[in-house]
Amino acid sequence: MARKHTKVSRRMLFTWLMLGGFILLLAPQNLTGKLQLGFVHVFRWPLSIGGDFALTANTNQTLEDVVPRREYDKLQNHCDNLEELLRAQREKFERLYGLYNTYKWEGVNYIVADVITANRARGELTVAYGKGTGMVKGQYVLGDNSIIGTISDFSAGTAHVKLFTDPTCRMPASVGGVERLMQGNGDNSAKILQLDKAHKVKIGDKVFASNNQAKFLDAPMIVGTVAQVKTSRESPLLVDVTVKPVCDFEKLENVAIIIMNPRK
Amino acid sequence: MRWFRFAVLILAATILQKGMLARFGFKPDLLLVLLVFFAVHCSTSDAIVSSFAIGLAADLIGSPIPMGPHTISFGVCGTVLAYLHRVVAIRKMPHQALAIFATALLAGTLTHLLAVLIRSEPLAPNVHTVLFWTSVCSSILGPLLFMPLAWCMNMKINRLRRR
Repeated sequence: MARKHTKVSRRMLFTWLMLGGFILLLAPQNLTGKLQLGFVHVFRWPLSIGGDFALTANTNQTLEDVVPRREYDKLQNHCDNLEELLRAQREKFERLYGLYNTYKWEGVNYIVADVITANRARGELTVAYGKGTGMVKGQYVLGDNSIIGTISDFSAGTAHVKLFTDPTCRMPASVGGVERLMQGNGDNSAKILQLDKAHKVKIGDKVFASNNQAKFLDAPMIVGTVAQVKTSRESPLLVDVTVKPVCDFEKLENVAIIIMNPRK
Repeated sequence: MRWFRFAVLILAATILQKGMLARFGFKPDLLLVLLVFFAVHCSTSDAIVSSFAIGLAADLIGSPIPMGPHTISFGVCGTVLAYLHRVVAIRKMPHQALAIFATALLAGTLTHLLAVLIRSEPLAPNVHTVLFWTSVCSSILGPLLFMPLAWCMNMKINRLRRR
């Protein structure tokens, strides 16, 4: 039996596809966000391989850095010995002093997640976490012992981390003892606007992330340092502060999501 | 049009763009290069379908921009380019580079415009710089990729075809 061919005109084809595009555009963001996360979750292995390759390519290595194989093996063995020693010492330290027994961090849980991709231009990380419950949007994320951003979206096993340098990110932060809202610039920096000159904020001062409305951080943690202090356009008595992160986002291999007071 | 090869090629480009190239500051947009390639070397109907499909792939990796703006902008730009190619042949490398540069600027602007106007997404202050350098990188690399792409898709690209 001859198959019946349906001829669709180009105009109709274009109209239908445009309609599909608009449906996608107007669909709820939590639904379409799941599609984006699902894609990353399915292809996390080739994506992370590509990321590792780029990371290696980005690392500058000169001939002076290269050591002979024998020397390398010797150093590697020494490194392994030191790591084992460090592990044993850590165990001893935790047993003796109780690392998590300080009041502020009591009961805090961390979900360790591997970085799949890091989008430098958009200020976003995509991470894969194995096990962990109690994750919600807005929770703080640690990288190299500093706050790097918050969870913007998540699905089973994959999450997006909005870095504090993203222009859409607003994070409570304190500098020089004053608490203000810090907003991302989009160029690997953030800004704190209209700070009183009387606070005498100077370049190199440490900036700490503070607790937000959802109470996701009980104790302040370092987020960056002051890179620039400029007189505000609004008033000569105010200054605009530029904050640079203390952690290199591009070189992060894993991060930790802070779960404050997890449900038992 | 060999649609299976097309799907594999788009998937490979999407993974490469999101995985390896994402860590670089200024990078070419591989999906945009593919958009121009298929708009120039396929029949108009195939070009329309492939443009929207590539846009959908760009949306899947376009986070934090929500899904939709890439599909629409890539679809519109690819269709316009396919119709334009019926009048003006884009065969020489400088012309291809120019087409990629213009399409990248137009598609990028339209994407951000849709995201800002319809989804009320905030606009990054450095969006113009990123857009310009992405267009430049894509226009430099794009024409060089056309030959291997044609080989992958088993297409003849030296022939002048008007549809």
